[in-house]
Amino acid sequence: MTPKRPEIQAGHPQQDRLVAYVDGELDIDEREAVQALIAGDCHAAAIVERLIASRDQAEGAFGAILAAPQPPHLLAAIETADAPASAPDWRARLGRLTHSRTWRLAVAPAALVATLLLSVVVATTPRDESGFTLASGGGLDIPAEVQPALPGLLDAGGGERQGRLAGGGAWRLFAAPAATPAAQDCFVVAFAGDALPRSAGLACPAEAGWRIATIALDPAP
Amino acid sequence: MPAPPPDDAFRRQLIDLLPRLRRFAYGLTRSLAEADDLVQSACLRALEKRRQWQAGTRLDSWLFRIVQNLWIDGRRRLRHREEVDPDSLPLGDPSAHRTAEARLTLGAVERLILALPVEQRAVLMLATVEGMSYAETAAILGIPQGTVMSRLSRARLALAAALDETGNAEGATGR
Repeated sequence: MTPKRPEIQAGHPQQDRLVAYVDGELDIDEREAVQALIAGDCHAAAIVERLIASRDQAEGAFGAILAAPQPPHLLAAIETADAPASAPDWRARLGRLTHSRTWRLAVAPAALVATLLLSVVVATTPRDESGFTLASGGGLDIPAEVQPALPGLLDAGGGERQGRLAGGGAWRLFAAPAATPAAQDCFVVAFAGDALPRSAGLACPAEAGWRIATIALDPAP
Repeated sequence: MPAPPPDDAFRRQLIDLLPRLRRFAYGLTRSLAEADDLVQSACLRALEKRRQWQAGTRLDSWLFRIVQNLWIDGRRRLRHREEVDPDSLPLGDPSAHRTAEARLTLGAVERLILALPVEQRAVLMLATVEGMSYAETAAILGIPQGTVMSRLSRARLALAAALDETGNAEGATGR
């Protein structure tokens, strides 16, 4: 025969407050109110007493896990995980990029040569009024009339746009998902045009628009 | 590129958090292997998204939140898989030696916690086992503080009642 303690099984109309009281989560007014309640309600007092005892036991629960050595595979995973996008491995990224179909078909020799010849430049600039960042002097060097095409291309998940400049000459703009866990949601973008500087960069979502870091810039041929 | 990664300190902080993350994940999954998978995913995600973490806010709360979110996502994906029946959990050996009583008692509390419904378990793991405030617990779980209070009180009363019963049962069988 196990004598039950019905006062606990049944709970208490104010049990939320009693638990909060035991946990020190009440302000002074509420605390005094609960203390007054306990003084005149032996049911509440019994519950509080048991709540304290059980909390003291639960606080130390699963201590064996805290004391155990950490699994080596977990430590290794954390120590060797790819660096985040803030510290990208540009060389690896360029390697992946140059293996993509878009790159080989479309960005054409010029930009590839640029990545090989130019030292890697990483530059970010403040966003302009439209919320779209275009680096000047260090980022993607895209003519102003082509710039509006880029956010749409990125928002669409990548692809290709082309057109002709007002002053004559064709341009092409490409965006492809960066396809690396370290830069999820980012795109590799490249711009090429007749008699214009070619550039490639990494576009990542920013608060309002996209932030673009330069991978490579090739002066006008 | 042999230069040391600039986020060594961040990785070290994650490693320092591992014991607590594993304990919380175990409370959710009730399996050490699953807990480790969950914690590993959470840490990799934190490394990936570390720029979303606002320096000056608590890294542990952020990591607990990631663990919780991944756990919810995983459950959603595996909804067809039935939850472990708490009755099938090993209950320990009631005739164990008296010398093992301290460990046995602790085991009883742990088994009772693991037998709670999952929502209550998550709240209890954070607010009681971890000793987080109700506000932190609510923020991590993404629920109102009032919900924390009601789930926690149900969990704690159930725990108190069950411990009372086991205490009485042991007293009755012991003598």
